[in-house]
Amino acid sequence: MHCSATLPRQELMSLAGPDLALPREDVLDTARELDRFLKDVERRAFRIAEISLRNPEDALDVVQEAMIQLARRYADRPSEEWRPLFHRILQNRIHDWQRRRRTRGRVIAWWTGGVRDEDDETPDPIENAAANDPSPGKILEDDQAMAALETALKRLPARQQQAFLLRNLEGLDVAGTAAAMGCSEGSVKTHYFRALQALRAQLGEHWP
Amino acid sequence: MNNDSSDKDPALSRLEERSRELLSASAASLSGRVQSRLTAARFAATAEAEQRAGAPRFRIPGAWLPTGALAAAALLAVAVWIAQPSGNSNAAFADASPVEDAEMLASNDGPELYAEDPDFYEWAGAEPAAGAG
Repeated sequence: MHCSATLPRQELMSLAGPDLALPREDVLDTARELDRFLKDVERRAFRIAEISLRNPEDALDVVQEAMIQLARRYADRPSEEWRPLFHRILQNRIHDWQRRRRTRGRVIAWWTGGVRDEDDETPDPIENAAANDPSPGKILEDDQAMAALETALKRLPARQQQAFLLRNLEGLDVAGTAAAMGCSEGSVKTHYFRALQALRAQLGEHWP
Repeated sequence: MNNDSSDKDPALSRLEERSRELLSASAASLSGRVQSRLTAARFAATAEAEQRAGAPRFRIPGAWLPTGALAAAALLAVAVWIAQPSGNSNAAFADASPVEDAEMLASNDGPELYAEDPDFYEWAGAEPAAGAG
Protein backbone atom coordinates (compact mmCIF):
# COMPACT_ATOMS: atom_id res chain seq x y z
CA MET A 1 0.00 0.00 0.00
CA HIS A 2 2.77 2.36 0.90
CA CYS A 3 4.52 1.84 -2.42
CA SER A 4 1.85 3.93 -4.09
CA ALA A 5 2.99 6.85 -1.97
CA THR A 6 6.57 6.59 -3.12
CA LEU A 7 6.54 5.29 -6.69
CA PRO A 8 5.99 7.74 -9.53
CA ARG A 9 2.48 7.61 -11.00
CA GLN A 10 3.71 6.67 -14.48
CA GLU A 11 5.56 3.70 -13.06
CA LEU A 12 2.45 2.61 -11.18
CA MET A 13 0.37 2.90 -14.37
CA SER A 14 2.80 0.70 -16.27
CA LEU A 15 2.73 -1.88 -13.49
CA ALA A 16 -1.01 -1.83 -13.02
CA GLY A 17 -2.19 -1.80 -16.59
CA PRO A 18 -4.83 0.41 -18.16
CA ASP A 19 -7.87 -1.20 -16.53
CA LEU A 20 -6.88 -0.78 -12.89
CA ALA A 21 -8.13 2.40 -11.24
CA LEU A 22 -5.37 4.23 -9.37
CA PRO A 23 -5.71 6.86 -6.67
CA ARG A 24 -5.95 10.39 -7.97
CA GLU A 25 -2.77 12.44 -8.15
CA ASP A 26 -3.92 14.78 -5.39
CA VAL A 27 -4.55 11.80 -3.11
CA LEU A 28 -1.02 10.54 -3.73
CA ASP A 29 0.39 14.01 -3.10
CA THR A 30 -1.38 14.20 0.23
CA ALA A 31 -0.17 10.73 1.18
CA ARG A 32 3.42 11.62 0.31
CA GLU A 33 3.25 14.85 2.26
CA LEU A 34 1.70 13.14 5.24
CA ASP A 35 4.42 10.50 5.11
CA ARG A 36 7.10 13.19 5.18
CA PHE A 37 5.42 14.98 8.06
CA LEU A 38 5.03 11.85 10.16
CA LYS A 39 8.60 10.80 9.44
CA ASP A 40 9.75 14.15 10.73
CA VAL A 41 7.78 14.05 13.99
CA GLU A 42 7.60 10.36 14.86
CA ARG A 43 10.80 10.05 16.91
CA ARG A 44 10.16 13.12 19.00
CA ALA A 45 6.52 12.14 19.43
CA PHE A 46 7.65 8.77 20.72
CA ARG A 47 10.00 10.36 23.25
CA ILE A 48 7.28 12.74 24.44
CA ALA A 49 4.89 9.82 24.90
CA GLU A 50 7.55 7.64 26.51
CA ILE A 51 8.51 10.28 29.07
CA SER A 52 4.84 11.00 29.81
CA LEU A 53 3.72 7.38 30.06
CA ARG A 54 6.99 5.87 31.38
CA ASN A 55 6.49 2.85 29.19
CA PRO A 56 7.85 2.39 25.65
CA GLU A 57 5.17 -0.07 24.55
CA ASP A 58 2.36 2.21 25.65
CA ALA A 59 4.17 5.10 23.97
CA LEU A 60 4.35 3.21 20.66
CA ASP A 61 0.65 2.41 20.81
CA VAL A 62 -0.25 6.01 21.58
CA VAL A 63 1.89 7.40 18.76
CA GLN A 64 0.36 4.93 16.32
CA GLU A 65 -3.15 5.90 17.41
CA ALA A 66 -2.31 9.59 16.98
CA MET A 67 -0.90 8.99 13.49
CA ILE A 68 -3.96 7.04 12.38
CA GLN A 69 -6.30 9.59 13.85
CA LEU A 70 -4.53 12.44 12.08
CA ALA A 71 -4.66 10.57 8.78
CA ARG A 72 -8.29 9.62 9.24
CA ARG A 73 -9.66 12.98 10.28
CA TYR A 74 -7.31 15.73 9.24
CA ALA A 75 -5.34 14.58 6.19
CA ASP A 76 -7.38 16.92 4.01
CA ARG A 77 -6.51 19.93 6.15
CA PRO A 78 -3.63 22.24 5.11
CA SER A 79 -0.34 20.62 6.05
CA GLU A 80 0.67 23.66 8.11
CA GLU A 81 -2.05 22.69 10.58
CA TRP A 82 -0.88 19.12 10.99
CA ARG A 83 1.79 19.69 13.63
CA PRO A 84 -0.40 21.31 16.31
CA LEU A 85 -3.27 18.97 15.41
CA PHE A 86 -1.04 15.92 15.70
CA HIS A 87 0.30 17.01 19.06
CA ARG A 88 -3.17 17.83 20.28
CA ILE A 89 -4.28 14.31 19.40
CA LEU A 90 -1.14 12.86 20.96
CA GLN A 91 -1.63 14.78 24.20
CA ASN A 92 -5.27 13.68 24.39
CA ARG A 93 -4.27 10.07 23.85
CA ILE A 94 -1.55 10.33 26.52
CA HIS A 95 -4.07 11.83 28.92
CA ASP A 96 -6.55 9.02 28.20
CA TRP A 97 -3.89 6.37 28.86
CA GLN A 98 -2.80 8.02 32.09
CA ARG A 99 -6.40 8.19 33.27
CA ARG A 100 -7.01 4.55 32.41
CA ARG A 101 -3.80 3.58 34.20
CA ARG A 102 -4.80 5.50 37.30
CA THR A 103 -8.19 3.80 37.31
CA ARG A 104 -6.57 0.43 36.86
CA GLY A 105 -4.09 1.23 39.63
CA ARG A 106 -6.90 2.13 42.01
CA VAL A 107 -8.75 -1.07 41.22
CA ILE A 108 -5.59 -3.14 41.70
CA ALA A 109 -4.77 -1.31 44.94
CA TRP A 110 -8.27 -1.95 46.23
CA TRP A 111 -8.13 -5.59 45.14
CA THR A 112 -4.68 -6.26 46.61
CA GLY A 113 -5.23 -4.30 49.76
CA GLY A 114 -3.13 -1.27 48.94
CA VAL A 115 -0.10 -2.79 47.21
CA ARG A 116 1.01 -0.37 44.47
CA ASP A 117 1.63 -1.27 40.86
CA GLU A 118 5.40 -1.49 40.45
CA ASP A 119 5.17 -0.07 36.90
CA ASP A 120 4.54 3.38 38.34
CA GLU A 121 7.81 3.50 40.22
CA THR A 122 10.34 6.03 38.99
CA PRO A 123 13.37 4.30 37.47
CA ASP A 124 16.80 4.79 38.93
CA PRO A 125 18.68 7.21 36.63
CA ILE A 126 22.10 5.79 37.47
CA GLU A 127 20.94 2.25 36.76
CA ASN A 128 19.37 3.36 33.50
CA ALA A 129 22.44 5.23 32.42
CA ALA A 130 24.65 2.23 33.07
CA ALA A 131 22.27 -0.04 31.17
CA ASN A 132 21.92 2.27 28.18
CA ASP A 133 25.53 2.95 27.46
CA PRO A 134 28.50 1.44 29.21
CA SER A 135 31.05 3.55 27.34
CA PRO A 136 33.07 6.08 29.36
CA GLY A 137 33.64 9.81 29.03
CA LYS A 138 31.34 12.28 27.40
CA ILE A 139 28.77 9.73 26.26
CA LEU A 140 28.36 8.42 29.76
CA GLU A 141 28.10 11.93 31.11
CA ASP A 142 25.37 12.70 28.59
CA ASP A 143 23.53 9.54 29.44
CA GLN A 144 23.60 10.36 33.11
CA ALA A 145 22.48 13.92 32.45
CA MET A 146 19.65 12.64 30.25
CA ALA A 147 18.58 10.09 32.82
CA ALA A 148 18.50 12.75 35.52
CA LEU A 149 16.56 15.09 33.25
CA GLU A 150 14.09 12.35 32.37
CA THR A 151 13.55 11.51 36.00
CA ALA A 152 12.97 15.17 36.80
CA LEU A 153 10.62 15.55 33.83
CA LYS A 154 8.55 12.60 34.96
CA ARG A 155 8.06 14.25 38.33
CA LEU A 156 6.63 17.43 36.82
CA PRO A 157 2.89 18.05 36.85
CA ALA A 158 1.38 16.93 33.56
CA ARG A 159 0.73 20.38 32.10
CA GLN A 160 4.22 21.65 32.94
CA GLN A 161 5.70 18.51 31.44
CA GLN A 162 3.64 18.95 28.25
CA ALA A 163 4.63 22.57 27.87
CA PHE A 164 8.31 21.80 28.40
CA LEU A 165 8.42 18.85 25.98
CA LEU A 166 6.40 20.53 23.26
CA ARG A 167 8.61 23.57 23.37
CA ASN A 168 12.04 22.01 23.92
CA LEU A 169 11.73 18.65 22.22
CA GLU A 170 9.17 19.30 19.50
CA GLY A 171 10.27 22.92 19.02
CA LEU A 172 6.80 24.41 18.92
CA ASP A 173 6.47 28.12 19.59
CA VAL A 174 4.11 29.50 22.23
CA ALA A 175 1.14 29.66 19.84
CA GLY A 176 1.71 26.13 18.54
CA THR A 177 2.11 24.79 22.06
CA ALA A 178 -1.11 26.52 23.11
CA ALA A 179 -2.93 24.95 20.16
CA ALA A 180 -1.53 21.52 21.00
CA MET A 181 -2.37 21.83 24.69
CA GLY A 182 -5.76 23.43 24.13
CA CYS A 183 -5.09 26.41 26.35
CA SER A 184 -4.13 30.08 26.10
CA GLU A 185 -0.66 31.32 25.27
CA GLY A 186 -0.51 32.91 28.71
CA SER A 187 -1.11 29.53 30.31
CA VAL A 188 1.65 28.00 28.19
CA LYS A 189 4.11 30.65 29.37
CA THR A 190 3.15 30.06 32.97
CA HIS A 191 3.39 26.26 32.74
CA TYR A 192 6.67 26.50 30.90
CA PHE A 193 8.30 28.88 33.34
CA ARG A 194 7.18 26.81 36.33
CA ALA A 195 8.56 23.72 34.61
CA LEU A 196 11.94 25.41 34.19
CA GLN A 197 12.04 26.43 37.82
CA ALA A 198 11.01 22.98 39.03
CA LEU A 199 13.62 21.29 36.84
CA ARG A 200 16.31 23.61 38.05
CA ALA A 201 15.33 22.92 41.65
CA GLN A 202 15.37 19.15 41.07
CA LEU A 203 18.52 18.95 38.96
CA GLY A 204 20.55 21.40 41.02
CA GLU A 205 22.93 24.16 40.11
CA HIS A 206 25.61 21.86 38.75
CA TRP A 207 23.54 19.90 36.27
CA PRO A 208 24.63 18.70 33.86
CA MET B 1 14.79 32.24 23.14
CA ASN B 2 11.66 30.44 24.17
CA ASN B 3 10.58 32.46 27.13
CA ASP B 4 11.09 35.97 28.39
CA SER B 5 11.73 34.80 31.91
CA SER B 6 14.44 32.38 30.87
CA ASP B 7 16.01 35.09 28.70
CA LYS B 8 16.69 37.05 31.85
CA ASP B 9 18.12 34.18 33.80
CA PRO B 10 21.32 32.67 32.35
CA ALA B 11 20.95 29.54 34.49
CA LEU B 12 17.50 28.82 33.08
CA SER B 13 18.75 29.53 29.57
CA ARG B 14 21.55 27.03 30.02
CA LEU B 15 19.09 24.50 31.35
CA GLU B 16 16.87 25.01 28.31
CA GLU B 17 19.72 24.66 25.85
CA ARG B 18 21.18 21.57 27.50
CA SER B 19 17.73 19.96 27.81
CA ARG B 20 17.01 20.60 24.16
CA GLU B 21 20.34 19.09 23.15
CA LEU B 22 19.88 15.98 25.27
CA LEU B 23 16.25 15.41 24.29
CA SER B 24 17.06 15.78 20.59
CA ALA B 25 19.94 13.34 20.93
CA SER B 26 17.73 10.82 22.72
CA ALA B 27 15.09 11.09 19.99
CA ALA B 28 17.72 10.57 17.31
CA SER B 29 19.14 7.41 18.89
CA LEU B 30 16.10 5.20 19.21
CA SER B 31 16.53 1.46 18.99
CA GLY B 32 15.98 -0.32 15.71
CA ARG B 33 12.94 -2.08 17.11
CA VAL B 34 11.27 1.18 18.11
CA GLN B 35 12.13 2.76 14.78
CA SER B 36 10.69 -0.22 12.97
CA ARG B 37 7.43 0.03 14.90
CA LEU B 38 7.23 3.75 14.17
CA THR B 39 7.80 3.15 10.47
CA ALA B 40 5.05 0.53 10.41
CA ALA B 41 2.69 2.93 12.18
CA ARG B 42 3.51 5.64 9.65
CA PHE B 43 2.83 3.32 6.71
CA ALA B 44 -0.51 2.36 8.24
CA ALA B 45 -1.44 6.01 8.70
CA THR B 46 -0.42 6.90 5.14
CA ALA B 47 -2.46 4.01 3.78
CA GLU B 48 -5.40 5.17 5.85
CA ALA B 49 -5.14 8.65 4.34
CA GLU B 50 -5.00 7.24 0.81
CA GLN B 51 -7.97 5.01 1.45
CA ARG B 52 -10.01 7.81 3.00
CA ALA B 53 -9.23 10.26 0.23
CA GLY B 54 -9.90 7.77 -2.55
CA ALA B 55 -12.90 6.11 -0.98
CA PRO B 56 -15.71 8.57 -1.90
CA ARG B 57 -15.53 7.56 -5.54
CA PHE B 58 -16.53 4.01 -4.65
CA ARG B 59 -18.46 4.43 -1.45
CA ILE B 60 -22.24 4.55 -1.27
CA PRO B 61 -23.23 7.96 0.11
CA GLY B 62 -24.95 7.77 3.47
CA ALA B 63 -28.08 9.50 2.13
CA TRP B 64 -28.72 6.56 -0.21
CA LEU B 65 -28.63 3.92 2.52
CA PRO B 66 -32.34 4.17 3.52
CA THR B 67 -33.37 4.08 -0.14
CA GLY B 68 -31.20 1.05 -0.74
CA ALA B 69 -32.63 -0.70 2.30
CA LEU B 70 -36.19 -0.05 1.10
CA ALA B 71 -35.37 -1.29 -2.37
CA ALA B 72 -33.83 -4.45 -0.94
CA ALA B 73 -36.89 -5.05 1.25
CA ALA B 74 -39.22 -4.58 -1.73
CA LEU B 75 -37.14 -6.97 -3.83
CA LEU B 76 -37.28 -9.56 -1.07
CA ALA B 77 -41.05 -9.21 -0.77
CA VAL B 78 -41.49 -9.70 -4.54
CA ALA B 79 -39.20 -12.73 -4.48
CA VAL B 80 -41.18 -14.31 -1.64
CA TRP B 81 -44.46 -13.60 -3.42
CA ILE B 82 -43.22 -15.16 -6.66
CA ALA B 83 -41.82 -18.19 -4.86
CA GLN B 84 -45.22 -19.02 -3.34
CA PRO B 85 -47.08 -21.89 -5.06
CA SER B 86 -49.57 -20.52 -7.56
CA GLY B 87 -52.34 -22.94 -6.53
CA ASN B 88 -53.07 -25.82 -4.33
CA SER B 89 -55.27 -28.77 -5.13
CA ASN B 90 -57.16 -28.61 -1.87
CA ALA B 91 -57.90 -24.94 -2.38
CA ALA B 92 -59.08 -25.68 -5.88
CA PHE B 93 -61.53 -28.15 -4.52
CA ALA B 94 -62.67 -25.79 -1.86
CA ASP B 95 -63.39 -23.27 -4.57
CA ALA B 96 -65.46 -25.73 -6.60
CA SER B 97 -68.80 -24.23 -7.41
CA PRO B 98 -72.05 -25.68 -6.02
CA VAL B 99 -73.11 -26.33 -9.62
CA GLU B 100 -70.42 -28.95 -10.01
CA ASP B 101 -71.60 -30.59 -6.80
CA ALA B 102 -75.17 -30.68 -8.14
CA GLU B 103 -74.04 -32.31 -11.39
CA MET B 104 -72.24 -34.95 -9.44
CA LEU B 105 -75.24 -35.71 -7.30
CA ALA B 106 -77.54 -35.83 -10.29
CA SER B 107 -75.42 -38.31 -12.21
CA ASN B 108 -76.10 -42.00 -12.26
CA ASP B 109 -72.83 -42.79 -10.54
CA GLY B 110 -73.29 -43.68 -6.95
CA PRO B 111 -71.67 -41.53 -4.27
CA GLU B 112 -69.48 -44.47 -3.36
CA LEU B 113 -67.53 -44.02 -6.57
CA TYR B 114 -66.41 -40.58 -5.53
CA ALA B 115 -65.89 -41.53 -1.92
CA GLU B 116 -63.62 -44.49 -2.57
CA ASP B 117 -60.58 -42.83 -4.04
CA PRO B 118 -59.61 -39.32 -2.96
CA ASP B 119 -56.80 -39.28 -5.53
CA PHE B 120 -59.49 -39.28 -8.16
CA TYR B 121 -60.63 -35.89 -7.04
CA GLU B 122 -57.18 -34.49 -7.47
CA TRP B 123 -56.91 -35.98 -10.91
CA ALA B 124 -60.37 -34.77 -11.86
CA GLY B 125 -59.55 -31.27 -10.69
CA ALA B 126 -56.35 -31.14 -12.69
CA GLU B 127 -57.68 -32.81 -15.83
CA PRO B 128 -59.73 -29.95 -17.39
CA ALA B 129 -56.82 -27.54 -17.04
CA ALA B 130 -54.46 -29.99 -18.71
CA GLY B 131 -56.94 -30.65 -21.49
CA ALA B 132 -57.42 -26.97 -22.12
CA GLY B 133 -53.66 -26.54 -22.51
